[in-house]
Amino acid sequence: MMSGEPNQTTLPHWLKVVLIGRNPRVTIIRLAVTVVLLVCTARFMLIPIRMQGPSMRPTYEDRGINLLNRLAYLRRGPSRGDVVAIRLAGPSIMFMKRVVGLPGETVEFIDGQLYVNGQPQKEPYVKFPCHWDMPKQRLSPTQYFVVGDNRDMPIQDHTFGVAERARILGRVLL
Amino acid sequence: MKWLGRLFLVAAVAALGWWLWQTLFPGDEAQIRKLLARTARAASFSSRDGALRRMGSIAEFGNCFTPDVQVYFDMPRQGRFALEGREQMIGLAARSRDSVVAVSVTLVDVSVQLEPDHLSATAGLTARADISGEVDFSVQELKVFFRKVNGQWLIYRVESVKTLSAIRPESNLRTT
Repeated sequence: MMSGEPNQTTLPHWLKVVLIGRNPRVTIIRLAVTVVLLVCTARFMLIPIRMQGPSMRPTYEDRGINLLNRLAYLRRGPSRGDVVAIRLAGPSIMFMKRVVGLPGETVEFIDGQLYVNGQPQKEPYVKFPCHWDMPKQRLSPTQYFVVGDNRDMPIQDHTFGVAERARILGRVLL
Repeated sequence: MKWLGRLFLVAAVAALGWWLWQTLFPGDEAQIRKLLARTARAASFSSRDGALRRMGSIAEFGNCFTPDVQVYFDMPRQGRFALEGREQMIGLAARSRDSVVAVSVTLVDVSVQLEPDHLSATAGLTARADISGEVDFSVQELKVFFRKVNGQWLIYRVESVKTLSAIRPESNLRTT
């Protein structure tokens, strides 16, 4: 008599269920749907971003990770104090700044103090000394004034100013 | 199931054929994108570059532009400056290699608009420069204008785009 083939080791049933589910076809479909949802969320709704540069210190540190909420301004425009992402030619690289002026308002800096419509603004997020002077600017109905929280450097070294509504992609979530 | 296999084979052959066609006979937009990639590569350099490579990349950089190219920049920290002519572009490329150890230039978010006559085009893009010795990279949004000269696309004008504009203390326009 010839000996039979050696016993093949098989996975325990419970382990098979844990790994691939009771119905592998359904598991694959669920996996595919999950991947598609994750990709759509990360691409169009909540975009992971990596922050670089000192302009938003100390609120956000260099090399930090955050999320951009692309749906934040579907129904309303940015509000004063929102930290927003402003696109350049596209969404790969964006400026991250805080909204301090709304459409139709005037914005100016006098010895580091921000004035909106002639009224001094309290800015608790600005921790470093600032001595900027900037003449009054009036914003059009589609413009917002954005600036970083770190105003310790000379005004010429800081990228800030008027951003068109169409360039504001969303609000930083965290 | 045989038909499914044949369908995949036909699709694969069609995809390969399309790729070969695009590679051997690139359209205008593909040529412009290649030109931009070549310009970015030629603008980049490292300390390991020898004299021959350095000269070659400077010459290649200059060859991306028309002889009457115009460049207008208005950037934070750098202020405003203008360049005119291919020779000035070559001079800028040479001077940058003397003043900085290494630079890596990449162009992202490139969008190309061809004019109906297919003899001129415009591209919007973001230029990123990683300069050795600096912690953070520099970015600038640019608008680049192209012209087809003797069948070859060349850059004839470059302008910086003010993503965020603000009234600041005026700096003088300087030409180099």
